[in-house]
Amino acid sequence: MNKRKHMPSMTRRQMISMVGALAGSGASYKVMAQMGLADASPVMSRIPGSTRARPGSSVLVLGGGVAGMSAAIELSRVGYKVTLLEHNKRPGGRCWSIRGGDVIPELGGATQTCEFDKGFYLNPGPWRIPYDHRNLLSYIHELGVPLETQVQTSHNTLLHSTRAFDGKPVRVGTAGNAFSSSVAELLAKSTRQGALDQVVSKEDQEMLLEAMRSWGQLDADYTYRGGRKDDHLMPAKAITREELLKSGFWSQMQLADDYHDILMQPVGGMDRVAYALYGAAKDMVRLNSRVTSIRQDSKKVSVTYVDADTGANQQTVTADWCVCAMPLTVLSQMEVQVGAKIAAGIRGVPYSPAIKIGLQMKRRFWEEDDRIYGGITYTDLPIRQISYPSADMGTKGKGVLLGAYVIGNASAYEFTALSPQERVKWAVKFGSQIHPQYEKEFENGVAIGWHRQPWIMGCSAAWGGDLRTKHYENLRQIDGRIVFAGDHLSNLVAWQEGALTSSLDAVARLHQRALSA
Amino acid sequence: MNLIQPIRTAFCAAALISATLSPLALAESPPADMPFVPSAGGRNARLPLAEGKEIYSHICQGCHMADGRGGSLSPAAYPALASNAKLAAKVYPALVVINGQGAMPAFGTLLSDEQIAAAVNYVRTTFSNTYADSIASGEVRSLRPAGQTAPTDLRGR
Ligand SMILES: Cc1cc2nc3c(=O)[nH]c(=O)nc-3n(C[C@H](O)[C@H](O)[C@H](O)COP(=O)(O)OP(=O)(O)OC[C@H]3O[C@@H](n4cnc5c(N)ncnc54)[C@H](O)[C@@H]3O)c2cc1C
Repeated sequence: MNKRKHMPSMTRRQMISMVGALAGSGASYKVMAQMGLADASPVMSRIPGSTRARPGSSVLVLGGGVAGMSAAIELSRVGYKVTLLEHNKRPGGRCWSIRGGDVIPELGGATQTCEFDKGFYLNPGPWRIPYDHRNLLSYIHELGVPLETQVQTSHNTLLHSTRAFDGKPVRVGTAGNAFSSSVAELLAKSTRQGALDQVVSKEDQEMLLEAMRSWGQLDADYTYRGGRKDDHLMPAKAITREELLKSGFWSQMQLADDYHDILMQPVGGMDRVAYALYGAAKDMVRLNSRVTSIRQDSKKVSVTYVDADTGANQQTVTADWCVCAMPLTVLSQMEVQVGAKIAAGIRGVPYSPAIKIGLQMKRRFWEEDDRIYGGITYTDLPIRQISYPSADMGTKGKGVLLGAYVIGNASAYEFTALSPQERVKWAVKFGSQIHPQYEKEFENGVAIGWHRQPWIMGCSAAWGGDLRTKHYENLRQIDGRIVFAGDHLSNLVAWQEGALTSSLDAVARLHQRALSA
Repeated sequence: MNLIQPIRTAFCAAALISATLSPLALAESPPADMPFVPSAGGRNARLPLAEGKEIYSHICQGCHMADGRGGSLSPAAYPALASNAKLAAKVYPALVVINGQGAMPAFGTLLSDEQIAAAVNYVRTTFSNTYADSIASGEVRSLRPAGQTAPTDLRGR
């Protein structure tokens, strides 16, 4: 019987896309969407300049992160009198960069002083910007913040597992090529044994075999035996399929490749974004001002605040409306006059753990010795990853590595539980299993455990289980004269873009309410 | 031919395979002097710690501190577990550990019934607490909400 009748012959393109499907680009897209990368956020419209605020109306904005500062900018643009209160002495909240000389106290009593040389920094929180975070990028472009590439995927970085290849790191590209070759060999074998006869026509099978041979660098008999010449990404001695499977590199390879091909960072540190917003909001912002209570009645909102340094000098400010862009964690520990449902939401959404550790090295050995220029090494050690700086490549002298970045898992708690010095010590210890140069080149480090930062008490809202169903819509409702904002009230939690989609949405709704009140 | 060209597709295949085959990473116990469990950083990895004291020092200590006295630095305060009257009813700390509260994450999906019981029993008998009764893992199980799932996957941030 002629199978063609039932199965039309595939075009070459269909064939290639089938290979893509076999190779799981669907799964890959899903992973990216979870990461908030594939799912472009909506461009939020700003309040039209033609709809002016009622003369004399005022708004208090609480919290000077990117959400609070954008709210202040948008509301003042249409005529509200805005006052913004921020606890820290710097603007930006989690949008933060740490440099030499910065003093960082934490819960538990420890204080770190960053000892980086001039010109170096650590972004302890946000560090990368995808191209489809359009609300963030529109502020960045409007305010003229220079961006540069942050290398994500490099085939010369390393995969490391304590349980594979005797604990020796393998280049991302070496493992990747071995994997392609193994898959190509299997697919060629299946094709030649007739396993694909039902789905691929004879003619197309020939093309598929040819494609597999060149893609997988297979020998004439479709066997994978290693590179034709000894190349460090395609060694002459093949890594076998069994070795690869056993290595458990899968999940790390997935991470190594599932980012955008390009991500961006502000030149000189993520806080350049914070300071650019601050530049536009400066007249409205009171730094070092810690909010201690939020009350409202039918006519106004009144907020008490103190000098954050001394806890003294309590003052009360009032306004017609309030945008509260402070973390839920902090709000759960103070008096906030809102309805029962919102109060339950404030108490009911816990925050995830995260740690980041920056390590200053005397020498850029990753470039000089290992030919690694930017990108990320993945490991199953508690540090999880080492990220090499994308700035100042090839310069002589020192450099700062991201020596550990652990988010949302058990190792993040373990790092948080240590003193800052111990965190750095262990990051160096673990890192030197991958780069023995650490021992000689390490100079100093700074380690942020996010649950120990008092103005946030965690990394970001940990929506899980049925928490979103229970609290999300409630927390987004305008309660009397107060609306809440921040990345926790978005679908892009732990992305600055989420903070902005939330605040732009919140101010638009508040403005409507104010005009119709 | 560019040797590194084929990698993208190959990694996508890895993504597919890992989605179906990835085993729950259950690592070996750590050496005594190491404050980490190897390989505990995997997504959904469990900590193979049985002793309440270990669970406390690997996790709870992050906020409640080594001496159980919590911490306070405005605007934040982490409650002390030392001499804490709220620990009198054993169910209360167990519920807070399972569900989280305020800045405290929910540990229901990270820790087993046995581990939660061990941690609760540890804090109720340490830091000047001397409660005589203890909670059993079966009681912890009965306190769990239906269908608790792990929080948002934050990898990629
Ligand atoms: C480890 C980590 C990695 C991240 N990676 C990325 C990334 O790569 N890219 C990205 O885009 N995003 C990333 N994010 C997420 C990003 O940092 C946040 O989504 C964003 O900065 C949140 O902004 P916000 O204004 O909502 O909140 P915040 O920045 O937290 O602002 C809240 C503000 O309220 C202030 N405040 C607290 N208490 C008081 C008080 N009592 N009185 C007055 N003010 C108070 C705080 O000081 C703070 O300034 C990351 C975050 C973390 C922690």
